Amino acid sequence: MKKLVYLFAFVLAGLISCEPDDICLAETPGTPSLIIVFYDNDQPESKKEVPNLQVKGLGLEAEFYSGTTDSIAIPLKINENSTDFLLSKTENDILFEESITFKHDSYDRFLSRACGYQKIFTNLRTERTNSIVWIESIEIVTDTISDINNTHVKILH
Amino acid sequence: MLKYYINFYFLLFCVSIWAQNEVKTDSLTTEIRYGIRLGIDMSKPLRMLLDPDYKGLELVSDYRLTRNLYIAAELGSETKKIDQDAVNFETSGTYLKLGVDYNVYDNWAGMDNLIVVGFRYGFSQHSQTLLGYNVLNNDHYWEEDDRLTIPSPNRFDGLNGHWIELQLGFKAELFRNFYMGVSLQMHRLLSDKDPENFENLFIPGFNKVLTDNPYGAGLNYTISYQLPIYKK
Repeated sequence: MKKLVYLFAFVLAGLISCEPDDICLAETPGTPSLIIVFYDNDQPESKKEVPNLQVKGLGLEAEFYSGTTDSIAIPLKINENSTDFLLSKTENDILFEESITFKHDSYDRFLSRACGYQKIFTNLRTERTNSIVWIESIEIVTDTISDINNTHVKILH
Repeated sequence: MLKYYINFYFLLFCVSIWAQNEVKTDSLTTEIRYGIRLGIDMSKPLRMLLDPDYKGLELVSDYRLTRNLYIAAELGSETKKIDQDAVNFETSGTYLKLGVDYNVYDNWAGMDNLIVVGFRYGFSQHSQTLLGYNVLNNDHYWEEDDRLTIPSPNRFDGLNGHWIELQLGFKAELFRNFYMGVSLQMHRLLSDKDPENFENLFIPGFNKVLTDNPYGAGLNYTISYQLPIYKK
């Protein structure tokens, strides 16, 4: 009987104390970023690097990205319905700057007690204020951004 | 000194003989009292004093069927507000647990104390109100606030939980028909109706619900009175 009480108390203590639920693991996928892949306008099936790409949120001082790449993942605003980015490239010492507005609706999806909710963006569309500077066209591959496993937007240049 | 002790023991010896003679003439009852025991869980008002985000009441009852077997029930109501980093919500509702208690303790004649192994089926009816939450955002480039307070909180009604429970505890008769008891409870959730796009994170009577673990734990500390019905 005494042993049973001890066993019960032990199991109970284990149940109460082990609560990994209260820790949100760092690898938990949260709000997904927008994945943009750059393609060649002349050969729309092949990726093409952007030389000296600079990405900056409109109204922010800090640059989000600077370098040469053929793809990028940028964060959309979680509390607003549109996000403005300045995308520029530098070729032969000449700066080409373009501004893109990403418009989106969104809803919050429950993750867990410890992690809360994640934002899912829906109905993604883009607007460009400038005439074509270096981006020929923007193609939305999927208008729902729920994970970061696939390309969401193709940019041809 | 030694002589004194020896004399003292002799004296005790005499006393014990005298006492045993007395027992033989006394009609000490070997009857067992049967009745309904009604009580209240004192741990809940105590928890209310310590935790301003908690309200609870639990009434307990059992009815003796045979020498060691009782049918038992707990009826309760709980409201708990939990404000964590990621979620801020309040759960409120009532629950009923039904089952049996088995006494494994052999009492001396006339005494009525219990070591109880109990089994219950429990269910709740509750609502959960989401007051605010965090949006998990790994990138803070836009320097936005991840914390969201819902202006008109989402209330999810008509939720429920079903579970089975193993209890282990004791009850001691402090005065005639007055009992004090403590029991530890281990629950296993069988099923629950979750709110849409949210989860039951607390179930009245069950306590905290873990995400990938159907087990839970609880305890009560009861003061109860037995309404004697008959003796056998």
